[in-house]
Parts: sequence; C-alpha cells; structure tokens
Amino acid sequence: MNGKEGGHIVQRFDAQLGSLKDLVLEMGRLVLQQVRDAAQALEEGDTGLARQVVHRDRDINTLDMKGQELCLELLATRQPVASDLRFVMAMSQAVNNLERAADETKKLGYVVSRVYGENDLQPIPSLFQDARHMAASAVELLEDALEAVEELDVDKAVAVVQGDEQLNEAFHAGLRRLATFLFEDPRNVRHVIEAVFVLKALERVGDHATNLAEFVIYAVKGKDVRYVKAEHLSSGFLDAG
Amino acid sequence: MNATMGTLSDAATGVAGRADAMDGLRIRNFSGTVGEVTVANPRMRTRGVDVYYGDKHAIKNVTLDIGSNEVIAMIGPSGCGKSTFLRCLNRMNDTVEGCRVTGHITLDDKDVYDRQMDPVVLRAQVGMVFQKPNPFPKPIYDNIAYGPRIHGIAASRAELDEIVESSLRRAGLWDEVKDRLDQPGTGLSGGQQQRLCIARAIAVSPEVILMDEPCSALDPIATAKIEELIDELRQNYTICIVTHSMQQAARVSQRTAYFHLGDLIEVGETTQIFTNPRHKLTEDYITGRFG
Amino acid sequence: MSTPLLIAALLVLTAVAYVLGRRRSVAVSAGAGGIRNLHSLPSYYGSYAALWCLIPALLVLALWVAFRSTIVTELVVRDLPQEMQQLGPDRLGLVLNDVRNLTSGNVVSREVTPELRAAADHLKSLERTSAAAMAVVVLSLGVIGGGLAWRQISPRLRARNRVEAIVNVLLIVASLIAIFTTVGIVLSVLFESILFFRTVPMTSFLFGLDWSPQIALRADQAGSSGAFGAVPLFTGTLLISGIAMLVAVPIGLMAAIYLSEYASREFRAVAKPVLEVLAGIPTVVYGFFAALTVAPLVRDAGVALGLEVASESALAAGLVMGIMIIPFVSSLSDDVINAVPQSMRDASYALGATQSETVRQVVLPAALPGIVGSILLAVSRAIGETMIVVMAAGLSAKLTANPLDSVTTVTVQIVTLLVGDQEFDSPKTLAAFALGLVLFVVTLGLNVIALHVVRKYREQYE
Repeated sequence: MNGKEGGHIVQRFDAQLGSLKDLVLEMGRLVLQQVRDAAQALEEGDTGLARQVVHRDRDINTLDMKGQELCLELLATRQPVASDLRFVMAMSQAVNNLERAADETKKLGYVVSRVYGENDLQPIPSLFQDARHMAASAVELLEDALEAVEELDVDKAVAVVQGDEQLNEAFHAGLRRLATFLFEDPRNVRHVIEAVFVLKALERVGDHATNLAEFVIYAVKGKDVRYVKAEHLSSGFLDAG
Repeated sequence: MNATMGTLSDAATGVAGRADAMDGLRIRNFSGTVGEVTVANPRMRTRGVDVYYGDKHAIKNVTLDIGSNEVIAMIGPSGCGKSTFLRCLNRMNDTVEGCRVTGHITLDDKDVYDRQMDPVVLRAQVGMVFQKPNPFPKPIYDNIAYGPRIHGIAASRAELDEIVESSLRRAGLWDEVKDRLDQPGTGLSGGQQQRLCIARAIAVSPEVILMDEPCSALDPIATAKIEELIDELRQNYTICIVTHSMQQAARVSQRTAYFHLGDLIEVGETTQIFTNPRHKLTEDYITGRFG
Repeated sequence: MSTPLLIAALLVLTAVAYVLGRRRSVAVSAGAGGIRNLHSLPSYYGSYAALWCLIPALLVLALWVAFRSTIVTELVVRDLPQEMQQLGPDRLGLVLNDVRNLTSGNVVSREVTPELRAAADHLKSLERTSAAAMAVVVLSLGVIGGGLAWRQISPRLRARNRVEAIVNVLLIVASLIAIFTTVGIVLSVLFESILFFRTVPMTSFLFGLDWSPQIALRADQAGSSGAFGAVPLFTGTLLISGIAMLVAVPIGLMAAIYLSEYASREFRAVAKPVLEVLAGIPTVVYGFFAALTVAPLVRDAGVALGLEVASESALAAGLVMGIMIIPFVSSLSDDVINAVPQSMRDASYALGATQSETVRQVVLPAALPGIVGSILLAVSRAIGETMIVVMAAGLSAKLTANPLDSVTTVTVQIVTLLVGDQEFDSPKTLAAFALGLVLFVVTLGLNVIALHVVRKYREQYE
C-alpha cells in the first residue's frame, strides 16, 4: 500500500526494485546538472559549457536504455502486481520523461551555440531575462520531483504538480514580453525565435518534472492524475474511493 | 455419514426463519470485507456463512455474490478457507466428518442448505472439478456418460451419444479422443484428463462449475488450454475457481476474492485487485510480501 | 571337540576378529590423519575381518559334516574281512548297523565276532580323528581368514563396499533357499507321482469315476482290486469349496463394503480386528465346531424339512469353511476398496451420485481386480483346507453333487492315504503324491492368476 519497494519474501526482488529507483535518481541528478549547466551557459554565453551539455546527453541516453531494460527484466521475471507493478510502470515513465527533459537541455545547448558561437549574430542577452527565472524554477521543480521519487512522497509530488502552474504562467508572460519586443523591432525576429525556443524548452523541463511527480502519485495511490486539474489535487481527493 | 448430514441440515435450518432472512439481502454482522460483495445478477449468493471443522472455525461470516456468467477467482494463502468455501457451494463438505455450515447460501434464490434441497440434485446443478485430474478407471465414453446415466438425463442411447459428443466438444477434447472413446480415461495425459473431468462435469448441464485448483498438477501448455476452455465456458456457465497461481486468477477471472484465515478480506474486479488492491493484506499477499 | 562346541569356538574367534579388525583400522587411521580419512567406518573393518574369519571356516565345517559319515563308513567297510565285503548292500547295511551299535554300546543283533569288534574300534578311532582334524582345520581356517583380512586393513581398503557385497550374497543365498525348497518339494512330489503313474495310468487316475485305494495283501482278499479314479475327489473338493465360496464371498464382500464405506471410524476400529480373529482360529477348532454343532444342526433342519441328510454332509463342512474364509475375503477386499482413491468418490459425489451409486458404479469396479484377487486367494485356501472336511464331511468318495450327502476331498484323501504304517512303494501311498501334485498345480495356478490380477490392479493409479 505504501509503494515502498521493501518487504518482499524474495529479497532479490527488493534489490531489483531498489536498483531501478537508484537508476532513476542517478539519471535525475544528471538531468538536473544538465539544466543547471545549460542555464549557466545561457547566462554567461559560455559556448564551451553548452557543448558539454550537448555532449553529456549521450550518458543520459545510455541510462535511459539501461532503465528500460531493467523495467522489462522486472516485468518479465517477476511479473509484478499491484503496487510493484505501478512502481515499475511509474519508473519506466520517469526514465522516459527524464530522457526527454535531457533532450530539452540539449536544445538549450544548441541555442547557446548558435546565439553566442556564430559571428554574424550579435547576441541580445536582455531577451533571455525571463529564461533565468524560469530555469531557476524548473531546477527547483525537478529537484522537488526527484525528492518525491526518492521518498515516494505524495505530498511533495502534489506540490510539484501545483508548482508547475507558476512555471507555465512565467512562460506565457515571457512569450508576451517577447511579442512586445518583436513589435518594437521586427528586425530582431531571429533572436526572438531563439528566445522562444529557450522558454519553450524550460517550460517542457517543468512539464517533465510534473510528469515525474504524477507518476509518483500513481505508484503510491494507484490514481492516474495526469488529467486532473492541479488545484483539485489534495490528499482527501487521492484517498477517496 | 447420514448422521453427519442430518446434523448439517439441522444446523442449517436451525437458523430461525432463514427464508425470510434472505429478503432484502440483510447482511448479518457484516465482516468488513473490502469491495463490492454483491452483484447485479447473482447466480449464487452467500450470506454470513460460517464453517466449522470440529472446533476449528474455517470460514468466518463470509458474504459474497457469484454473478451469472462470470468467472470468479478465490485466492489466498494455504489454509485460508478458499477451498472450504468452494465446497460449501455444492455441499461437498457434507462428506467431511465433523464439518458444520451455518449461514445462508442460495442458488437461483433456492436455499442450498434447506431440508428440502437434495444434495444430489444440487450437485447436478453445481458441478465440480478437482485439483488432481480424477477420471474414473472406465472408458472415456462412460466417464462422460456417468452423470447423465445416474440422473436419467438421456432417454436413448443416441441421445447419450449426443451428450457425450457435445460435452467433449465443449471441453475441446472431442478431436483428440473421438477415435478412442472405448479406451480408459486414465490413459490420457494429465491435461486431457482434466479436460475430460471438465467435460464430465458439463455433461449433466450444471449452472455453476466449481474448480478447485484445476491446473496445479498440469504443465503450462495444458494449463493454457484449460484457461482458454474456462474463457469459453463462461458464455454458458458461472465458474468459481480456486487457485494458488495469482497470475492464473488474473488471467481467467473477472472478479477476484481474497481470503485470509477464514475471512473474506477483499473482493473486486480482477484488474483492480491486481493493479490497485485496497486492503493491505491483499496487497501484501499478491505482491509476495506475505510473511 | 563336538560340533556345537566347535561352532561356539568359531563364533568366539569371529568376535575376536571383529574387535581386532576394528582396532587395527583405528590404529592405521591414526597414521593417516584420523578416522575421517578411513575409507569406511571402523565397524566395517571389524565386520570385514569377522566375515573372513567366519564364512570360509563355516563352509568347510558344513562340507565336513555333510561328507564325514560317508567317508568314515567307506573306510570301515574297506577294512572289513573279504567275505563281509562280498555281502549284498542290504546285508552289509545290517552289519554296519551292528558295528555302529557296538561303538555306542547298544544291543547288537548278532554274535560279536572279533572282526566286528575290530571294525567297531576302527570306527571309533576314525570318528575321533575326524572330529579332532575338523576342529583343527576349521579353527585354523578361521584364524587364517581373519588374519589375512586383518593384514589387509589399510585406510584405502574399501571395507564398506566389500562387507556390503558379502551381505548381498548372503541375502541372495537366503532367498535361494526358499526357492530351492519349493523346487525340491515339487520335484519330490513329481518323481513319486511318476512312480505312481507307472502302476496306474494317468487317464484312469484323472478321469476314473471310482476311488477305492485298496491294495490286496493277499491275492484272494475281497475287494482286492484298487481303483484310483480321482474324479469323485475333485467333485467333492469343488462342491465343498463352492459352498464355502457361496458363504464367504457375499458375506466377506458386503462386510468389506460396510467397513470401508459406511462404518464409523470407531466401529471399524473394533470390527476389523475382530473379523481378523476368525482367521486366527485353528482349523481343528472349526472342524469340531462343524462336526459337533453345525452338522447336527444341518441334519435336524433337513429332517424338519423332510430331506434326507447324511450326518456328515458337504453342506456343514462348506458352511463352516466359508465362515473360516470370510476374513480372507473381507480383509483383502477392505484393503483394496480403501485403496480406491478418495478423489474417485469425490468425483462421483460431485456429479450428484448417492453413496450407494458411488459404491456400485465407481468404487467396486475400480476395486474389482483386487477383489477378484482376494477371492482367488480364498479359493485356493478353501481347496487346500483339510481339517474341517475330515471332521465334518466324511471320508466316502461319492460322486455326487448333492450338498446334503457326505463327500470327501483331495486333501482328506491324502491324509488318509498317508496315515498309519504304509509301504512307500505301494500305489496306495504313491496316489497321495499324485493327488498332491494335482492340488499343487491347481492352487499354484490360482495364486499366479490372483497375483497377476492384483498386480494389474496396482498399476492403475500410478
């Protein structure tokens, strides 16, 4: 009922579930670092760091494959049911989401390379003002989501889901500001497009963090809350029927 | 034996006004089973059933409906009472010395433990398939014809032939044995024997078929054939299956009931039980955390 | 040294060999790193030495005892005077008998001549020498055997395997003894029967209708012509066995069904042993029960019904024999009925069969081969039964199917033919062997069939 991976008669099963979770957490830490580094590269116009971010995506892809293999092995050999089944499914989805979040950071890396690496383009750092805030809150969301995974804590997961609303608002506000900027000087359209990519990527990272949290809720409570409005989520709602 | 049966029906009818008690589905001392114990179109209903073997309280206040044309699986650790419960449904417990059943069990609203109810007639309506394939050491034909013969179902030899053929066809065994109906049923393989036993049970056209771990002595292929057969039989029969294999329960049943130490802990849709059981004991048992 | 004393000495020697062998194994193990490095446990080394000490010596002892008297006699005869050696084998036997009597101090049938005295002395000295030589040979063989085995003992000696091989051989010998005894009996009966069939043709024995095994002592004696037609005996046997089976099979079978299917556990616990006590009553007791209680009862009942009943009737003997056989049928049938798996009964009940339908249509058919086996065993028992018939059915060999008449059976005739002083080469005596042969063949056949049927039954649930 508690969704924890301990207590099976077959202790090896416990160990396998534990290593699956460890893999997800390790992957999460890597992705977190990617987001931080990408944000920093953007902030400082550091194309070298940006290249590192793009390069490190391979490590994350490797972990993705490992994670899916582990899930498949668990399904094939243990035939998990109930909370175990939900846990394995949730971890499989978590791996998937983390990989896609990592892809978004790779996109950020490419943007930085294009913006600061190409000589014919004069960078306009002020366009990335909103990106700094959004990156900070995306990092925070991902951190909280990983904590929720680590502790299988529903309350933290709910907080992540609700926290994503603010990131979305920030994204829309950023888009509006970029639109205004474009109206003022349509010649900067290329810069604005790059900035939109950046905002969109950060928004997606937040979404993936949210998905992580939602799968934690699924693993623990057995409820699919992906299409439930964030403000409806409460422990009372989750425990009902 | 007769003495035992006497006390049994006395005990059963000893509950005052039992026929009335069934009205309005009054549930006596509801035991706290999690999940929906009743269904919209029940074939059999049990209300507050207790079973004692001497001093041992084997089944505690179990209330459960068995719906028409559903496969309901009973799971639980050894000694949890699931087989005992199954054997109450066709009064096979009558043959066990010192066994006492109280509470109400109905089949199509007729009281199973009523003095008027002849267990012989009941068992023709509620057939049973056992853990170990147990064909009679007779020819295959006579195995199937046994039930129809004692109940006088077939008027002529031709009719009996037809019953034998259709039962074997339904059990998916006809093509394998049609050329050797005169050979002993004990000469078939384990899986074939078990399907023969199912065919034998079908031959008296029961409404409910009880299966007590029907695949525990079979290999996976034979098991798969039986499971496929169960799925087909659901069109015409109601099936209660007791199984030790949770995967089997998950595969064949629509509803699953979890028994623990004589209590019916939880009952629900099979998918729900196996993805999101509500009771801690159910969860612990099916995930293999049961200590 | 007398033979029992010698055997006792040999056994003591064996015990010594055991102890020494064991000790030596422990001693040699000390050099090889303890008992765990021995191939076998010390007791096996002890047994190994003991067996080597005992078995060769015992074999020689047995051979010696078996051939001693022949050899000694031969030696005595060779020293007898020439004219005595010329006597025929019969007369020579008498002379030798006198010699033996003289040595043991018994009365001698003839005058003691110096030759006789000399022969007796010779015999005495030979026997003394033989006994002494035997003791020396046997005991030294024991010492040598044990000593050789003792010397062989080393940590690598596979004493356990060797001891087990020897034990294996002993077991085979034991089982062969039973087989050879049976074969011996069969052969002796067979050879005597062949002698009989030389004087009486086999056809007239097997198909003759008249049985009066008289042999004339004088040629002019009345009824001197013996008749050896055994048919009346066969029919008498059949009649009595048939009556017995008519009693025993239904009662035994129904008792078995009741006990195994219907009776409560408590009743069964009491009734089954009581029923089996019937089998433990000596047949003589049944015999006088039949002769003194049942036969008059049958006669009185017959008289009351206006029937003429012989005071010793086949009916009385058959009834009592049937009662005697009940436990055979019921106990064996009860076992085979109980061996029918409960799952068979469950299957039948689950199809809505009642208990009696289940018994009739499932349990009995399943148990039938075993029941048939038990009945056949009971039949062979009935055919072989003697005492009751001797006492209750009379001795007159009448060819009749009337159960109220007195008849006789094969076994009874064997008894009467051999009771009292008989010449062993007269057809009258030899007829007993022929009858015995027939009886043996019939019961053997029945037993073989019964065993076969029972075995077939056993295979069914495996």
